Amino acid sequence: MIKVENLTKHYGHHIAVQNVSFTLEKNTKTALIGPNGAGKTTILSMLTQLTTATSGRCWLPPPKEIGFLPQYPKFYSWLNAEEYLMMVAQLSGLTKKQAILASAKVIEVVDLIKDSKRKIEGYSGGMKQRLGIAQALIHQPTLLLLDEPVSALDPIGRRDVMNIIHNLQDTTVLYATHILHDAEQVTDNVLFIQDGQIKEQGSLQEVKQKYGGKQLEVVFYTVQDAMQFAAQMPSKVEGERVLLSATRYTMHQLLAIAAPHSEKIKRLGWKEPSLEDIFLEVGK
Amino acid sequence: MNQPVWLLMQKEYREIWRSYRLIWLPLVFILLGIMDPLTTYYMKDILQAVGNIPEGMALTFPKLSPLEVLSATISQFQTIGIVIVIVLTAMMISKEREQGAVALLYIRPIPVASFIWSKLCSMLTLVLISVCVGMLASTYYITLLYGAITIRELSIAFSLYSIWLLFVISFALLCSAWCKNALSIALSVLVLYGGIIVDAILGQYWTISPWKLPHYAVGVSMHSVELQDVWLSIISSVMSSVIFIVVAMIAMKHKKDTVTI
Amino acid sequence: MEEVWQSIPWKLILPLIVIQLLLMGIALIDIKRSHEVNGPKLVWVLIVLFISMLGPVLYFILGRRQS
Repeated sequence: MIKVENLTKHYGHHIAVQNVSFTLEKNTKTALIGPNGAGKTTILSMLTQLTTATSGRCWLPPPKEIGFLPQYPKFYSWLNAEEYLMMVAQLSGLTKKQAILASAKVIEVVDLIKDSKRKIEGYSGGMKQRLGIAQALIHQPTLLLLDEPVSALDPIGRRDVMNIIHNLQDTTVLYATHILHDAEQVTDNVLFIQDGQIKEQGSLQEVKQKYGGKQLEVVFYTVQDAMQFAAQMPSKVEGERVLLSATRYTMHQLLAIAAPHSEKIKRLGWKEPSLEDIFLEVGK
Repeated sequence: MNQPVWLLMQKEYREIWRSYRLIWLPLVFILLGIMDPLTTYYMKDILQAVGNIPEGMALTFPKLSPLEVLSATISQFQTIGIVIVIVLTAMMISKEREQGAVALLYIRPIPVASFIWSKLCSMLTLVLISVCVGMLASTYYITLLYGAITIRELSIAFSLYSIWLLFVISFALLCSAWCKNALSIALSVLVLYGGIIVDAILGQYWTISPWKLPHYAVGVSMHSVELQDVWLSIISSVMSSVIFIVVAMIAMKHKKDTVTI
Repeated sequence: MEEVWQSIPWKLILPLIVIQLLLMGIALIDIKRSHEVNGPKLVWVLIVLFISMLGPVLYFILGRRQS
């Protein structure tokens, strides 16, 4: 279990992080969500002990059990990926034999087999990002801290990396992101942060419940039809969409009400608030 | 051999080799080493070839002894070679910190001392090799043009000059561990190179200091210096180097959070 | 003129020239192979070619990029 209590960081007069407290249960995945400059990177760098906190306390695993991926990982350009991974693996406490096995494995996981003997100098941004993930995973950390792990990647790279994160079993993951669509796929818990403070936290389900819960959605072909339909009952109109609270109506009731209008309706179904909706809501 | 210090050293040696440093720095010292014996020997011819010297003007150059030319070679190292060494060393830690690659090492359980040792050892190896081949090349030319230098004389010169280099590298490393890259370079050049200039102008007033060692390197063999001064200069250099290295380790620990993430 | 030419101690000067060329050559090859250098490549090529000895040294210290 990882626990953080009243973590605060001041840079001169600027307050980067203010009284942040949270707990990460063992082997859960938590997304740290917030706009750029909200303090995500500062929190992560305090957890890695690269930055000393102004005040507050942390209960963390020892450094050799922490893996960290910075937003823009930098490497030694004159080494190749294999040499680099061998070095960091042994620096994290693995024996040479373990390091050979571990580096072969992570090279495969991040799909760098073809390029593992090439100097890092010639790597593209995406390849560096994948090497960054490899170095964060190589010593099988119990706590994995990732700073925007997918923002530098193309859609395929993003999916691959999110799959890697998704498949991690015995690791507690905390990852900072502003790409909410990806976060939604793999996360158990969310921490919303803004201006250095936590605005909302909880499990994905809890937070979604709190911000609207489930809704029913009816999409019409034209805006007029939507407005006419909405006028009959308490609801919300967004363009061609009509949103109804799921606590007020059951799907069964909705179908009965909507049946006479069926030829005007394009689509009808359940709608959960996306993280994006919540993010905008929290930010207000 | 999976001690952090060996792993970090391996990384440093790979850099020295793959960035061609192990080739170009020795070449530069060889050039510096042979330039002086050549130019002083042919000075007369060079002057006659380029300048129009009046007919009757006597061009007498004192005939230099082999040791005097070796001493001139060391002065040559001291004017150009040492600046290169200072700048290269002063960038070692600070530049890595600003570039950011070291962040991914700082997060691992590595004692700070092993970072400093790896830097010190790799730079010492590189510089000692370079100076050694430079002196050998110089000795070869001196032997051809002026006369023999004994192995004993050469070893003394190399040993004393090496201690001076240890002092230089330790101080520049301390600057690098403590300051930002640009400041580190400025500070180490100012102190180390400034010291050379101060010693050249006012050096007659004192006899014991690390900056004296390059003079003593040949001076011992020429019997022009007091042995006691030499020993005390050696001791002062080694002791300050040890202090610089220890302080560098402390400074590096304190400056960990200035690393670029 | 020929006399002057012959009076030059070529055996002694040749190593000097070879080392200069070597330094220049290594620097030029490295400039060509590097993806990126600090500043325009052409400027570095000119510096390496026209400042003897110090040109290549300046390139190796200031021109090479590590990241």
